[in-house]
Amino acid sequence: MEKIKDIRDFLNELDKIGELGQVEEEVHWRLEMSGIGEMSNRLDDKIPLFNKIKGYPEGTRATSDPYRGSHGALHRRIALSIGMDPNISYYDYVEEFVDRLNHPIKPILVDKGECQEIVHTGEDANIFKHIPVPYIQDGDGGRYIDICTIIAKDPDSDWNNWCNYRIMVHSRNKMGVLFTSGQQTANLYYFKYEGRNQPMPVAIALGGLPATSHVAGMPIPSGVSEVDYAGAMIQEPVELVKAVTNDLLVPTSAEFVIEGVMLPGERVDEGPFGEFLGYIHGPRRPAPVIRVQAITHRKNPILPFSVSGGGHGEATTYLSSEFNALLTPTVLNSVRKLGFPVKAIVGPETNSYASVIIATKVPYKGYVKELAELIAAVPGPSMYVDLYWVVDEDVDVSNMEDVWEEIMLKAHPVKDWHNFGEREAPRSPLNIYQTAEEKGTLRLGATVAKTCKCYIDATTKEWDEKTKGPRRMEFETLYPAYKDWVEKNRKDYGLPTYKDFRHEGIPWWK
Amino acid sequence: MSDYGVTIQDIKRITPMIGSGQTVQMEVRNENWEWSPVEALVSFEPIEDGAEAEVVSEGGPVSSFEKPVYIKILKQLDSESVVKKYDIVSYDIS
Repeated sequence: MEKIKDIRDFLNELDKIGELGQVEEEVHWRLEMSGIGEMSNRLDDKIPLFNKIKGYPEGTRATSDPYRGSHGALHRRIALSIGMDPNISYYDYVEEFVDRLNHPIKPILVDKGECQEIVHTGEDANIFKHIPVPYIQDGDGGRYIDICTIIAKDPDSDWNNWCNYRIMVHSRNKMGVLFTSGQQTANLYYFKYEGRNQPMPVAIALGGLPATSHVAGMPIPSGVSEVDYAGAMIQEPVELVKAVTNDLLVPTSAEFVIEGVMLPGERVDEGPFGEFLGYIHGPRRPAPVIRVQAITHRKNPILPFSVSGGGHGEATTYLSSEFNALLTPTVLNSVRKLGFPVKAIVGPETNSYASVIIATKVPYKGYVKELAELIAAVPGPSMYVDLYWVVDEDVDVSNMEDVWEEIMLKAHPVKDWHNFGEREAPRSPLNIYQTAEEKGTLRLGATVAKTCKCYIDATTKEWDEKTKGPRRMEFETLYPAYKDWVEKNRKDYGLPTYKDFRHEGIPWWK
Repeated sequence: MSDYGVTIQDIKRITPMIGSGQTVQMEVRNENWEWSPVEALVSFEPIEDGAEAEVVSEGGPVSSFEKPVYIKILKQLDSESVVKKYDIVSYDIS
């Protein structure tokens, strides 16, 4: 495999394995690109690359959910994008990923970058003219950028924070960004720059080296620069170049960079937007403003975007994939460093970003409470996840039927369902069950939403070391001495092979 | 899809003026999905030389707006007026 240095190399690798769909017909940025992308996500078809977009110069391209995984293997294209075999097992991927994370690599600064091959400033810094930002879902409040790396600097230190939040293009040179206090860049804006009545310079990198997109969605601690971990992921330094209109450092490989400034006390209306939980989410409300000062880009640039509102279960998206391939492995790494013998932390495919399953050894009484409360408080995931299911380490966490069985059989309805109570804490306002009051307001960013964490302890409570029980009864354990004999003879006795009637077209429920 | 759009929030705000012949100031999106401030007439009945506008509602499972809304744009306003200004609050984060 060639070394992947940017999104173009990644798409070439996809092409080589027959997973890239080149769309040569002209498509519209308004619902057409995203409609094709959503159907591709739903069917786990090829990743579409749109080569001709209505109203944009020849050579301007876009791709939808380029890093999304597949059902049963949400990590596979993210693995490919950082130089791993896409057919690696999830467990092997996680162990390799965690090992790389433990070796961060500082970036290098260069004089010139491909991301600045073409520069538009002043009146010409018009987003609609130069960037084919899609109108993604019917009912969205505007055209949205949803795979991006927003770069901002702590005014008190050398810390450069990279993050990914949804951005609505409000007009040609103004954008509204959903900043929720509690998120790192939102905190920099609300509590440092705005609190001191100072403008916050920003740069938004679109596309480029895949790791520079991935790291923007990972729970890296405050004060630690994400770019070091992008380097860790690809095991070499990331190249950065100074932005044209401010001192921020941006990845040279970016397809587009939007440079701008966020002035204190300014808001424009933002939302609603089809969000990662599978619902269109509002209300439209005032959000901090990015004033665009420059747009730089490569020749023939490629804009990545995600049809995030496709939600879970029906389709896979970049966001549902990154939860299990990037976010939970980072949390796993952190809790292991604290000495917790955790085997896996994953979100169910059907609702990652809303709940988490933790498979662990239970070395002593009270351990599960310590672990669940710790994970429920990890900044980042705690903004999104309220429900945690803790199971024994031998449970197959990729199989929700197995997980449900553990909960039903091992979690005592009174003693093992733990609710931390309602409290005010940083919280994403995107969950469906939140009332308007619980969502809080973003107007000044000072209010916090209400949150309520719950964990279910579905681990074995009364383990007997002598009898190795309670022991789950399955064919293999019921008939250890006879299983080979049964397997050998059952066909001779005319016994049928396995059949799931749902697969035969007979619905279980209508 | 209509060439123009308005928000449910603006419709609620100007409800008493809708169909009254009074002009209102509001944000309208064009066919490029760019939002801009305008002075306009708004009605639930067709307006001569006007256009039907799509209503961008709150999103989520709770709301939708079924009535047709017609607008006639009379004047573009200063694009800066879409920016809302708030007092700066110094937060106590100690």
